[in-house]
Amino acid sequence: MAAMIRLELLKLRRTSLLWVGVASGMLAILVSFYLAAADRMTQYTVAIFMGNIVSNNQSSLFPFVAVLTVGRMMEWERTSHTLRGILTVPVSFPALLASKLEAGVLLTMGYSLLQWVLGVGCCLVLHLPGVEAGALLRDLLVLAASNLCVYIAVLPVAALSAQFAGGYAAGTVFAVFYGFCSIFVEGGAFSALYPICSGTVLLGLGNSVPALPQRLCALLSLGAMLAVGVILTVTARDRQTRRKPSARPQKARGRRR
Amino acid sequence: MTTYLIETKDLTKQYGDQTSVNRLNLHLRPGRIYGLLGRNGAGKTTTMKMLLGLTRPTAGEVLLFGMPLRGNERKILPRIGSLIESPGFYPNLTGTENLRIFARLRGIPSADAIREALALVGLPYRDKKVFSQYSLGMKQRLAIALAVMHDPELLILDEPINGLDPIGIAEIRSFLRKLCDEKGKTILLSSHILSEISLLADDVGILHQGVLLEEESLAELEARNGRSIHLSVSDSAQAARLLETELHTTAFRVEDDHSLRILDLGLPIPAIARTMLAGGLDLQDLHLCEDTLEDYFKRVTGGEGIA
Ligand SMILES: Nc1ncnc2c1ncn2[C@@H]1O[C@H](COP(=O)(O)OP(=O)(O)OP(=O)(O)O)[C@@H](O)[C@H]1O
Ligand SMILES: [Mg+2]
Repeated sequence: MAAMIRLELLKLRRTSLLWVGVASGMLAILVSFYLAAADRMTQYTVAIFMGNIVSNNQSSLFPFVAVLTVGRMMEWERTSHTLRGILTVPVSFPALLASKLEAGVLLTMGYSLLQWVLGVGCCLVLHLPGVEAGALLRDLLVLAASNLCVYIAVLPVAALSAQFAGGYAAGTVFAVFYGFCSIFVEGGAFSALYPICSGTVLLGLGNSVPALPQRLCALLSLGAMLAVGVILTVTARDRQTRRKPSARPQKARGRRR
Repeated sequence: MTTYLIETKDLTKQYGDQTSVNRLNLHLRPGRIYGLLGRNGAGKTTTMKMLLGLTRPTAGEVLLFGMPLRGNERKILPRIGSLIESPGFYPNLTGTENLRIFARLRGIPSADAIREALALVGLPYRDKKVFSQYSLGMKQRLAIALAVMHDPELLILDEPINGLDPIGIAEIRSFLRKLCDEKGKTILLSSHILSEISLLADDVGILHQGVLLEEESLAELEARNGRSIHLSVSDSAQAARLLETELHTTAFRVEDDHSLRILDLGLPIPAIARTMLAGGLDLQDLHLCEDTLEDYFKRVTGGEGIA
């Protein structure tokens, strides 16, 4: 399995796909940076700054980045016609999809680390109070854990859309919407149940400290997403597009007869 | 009973209401090169995809190495090397990197196998060019390298010489011949180019609109080719009457105003000449002619040649 994941990362060499992740990772920082620099009302601290990064990721950036990345990785196999070669090795379609989703977990970690480094850099530039090793390390863990929760929340979307040729586009659009809706749910009564927000509740990142039942709900909701994602992956197959191209030659043939 | 390396039983594939492959019964004997010949859209690629489990047949069965393919993919597929339609590689990686990925997936120790496979098809090892910068012929060569890299017993190659220059074609041809003769590999290849098949294949299957019209050894096919007597005279209608009344044969075809084709090879040529001259006709040409394989192919696939 580890070998398969390494191959997935190798396939990304010289592609622009990773830059999408890098660019959007920077965007989350940039928005936080802008808020911190422009907002004179709040006394910004490292904790608030990092918290902003986490919530920007959650509501707008990471859901679609995750679906787009995994979806494009599968689409790459189709457009390069390498899927045939892989399936005849034979590597089953579910195994291939699983290795891409697992590579996605590694990429999520890389994305989090990158954001953390950039975030800390910004904090130093802005001279924000609260720069200390322990807190920064904790911020890194929180960032990684929160992004991982978002990844789990969109796992079913990624696993399903990657099965259709060109499906990643629809999946990405849905993920944008799915992430954006978390803004309305955030902090409300059902916050724990909305998978995108579940991570916040589970990790206790909200304004209030969540009660135990809420945390259980969050755990349950993420567990359900994980289970659905796994089921979709195990039962995955390459779902080809509808037969359109055959229509013309067929008519021509009928006439000849 | 011979065990065939590939055997299909009434293999059928329907796309919507179009039958792309219709009750196909292929038989591939071990250690031979089988050429699947057919015009564009005949169903060659579809057949090969079904042989590799890439599309599921609508009906019928595929037997490979004497086992049904369904359910035995993990046993069967590693013994096959294949090239279906266009070569499939990651455009952002070099040829060596591409082969390395597949070598790892197949669990073969990579460096040597890759170097050997590239040498076989005449591509450099560790080239800096990425696949998207390859020429059409180089792409095709890389695809052949991938097909033979894991030393499979059976090769399934869909139009393997597509895009190669004449020297490249000759190279690949002798390379495939050697694989078959020296290493005892079995090869199924498809082409719409008749001359290619006739130069390389031992057995030929002619596929037309999804139906296998003929399946024979090339030698048999060539022997069975139609022979006829071609006759060129001043008036073919008059000649036809003479053939019927004087020579008592109806086995001929009037081709146009001045030429006929006699299919009854029992008629002595001098007798035909004497009859025509005695009937007052001018005789311009009279000779025994043999159908080329191409004529034959045109005839069975009913129409304009594609060779
Ligand atoms: N995925 C598909 N959906 C619908 N029709 C298809 C599909 N694949 C093939 N066909 C149809 O099946 C028929 C046979 O196609 P196939 O690709 O097997 O022909 P071929 O013999 O390989 O031709 P060529 O020499 O052009 O490669 C064609 O009419 C084609 O339109
Ligand atoms: Mg084809």
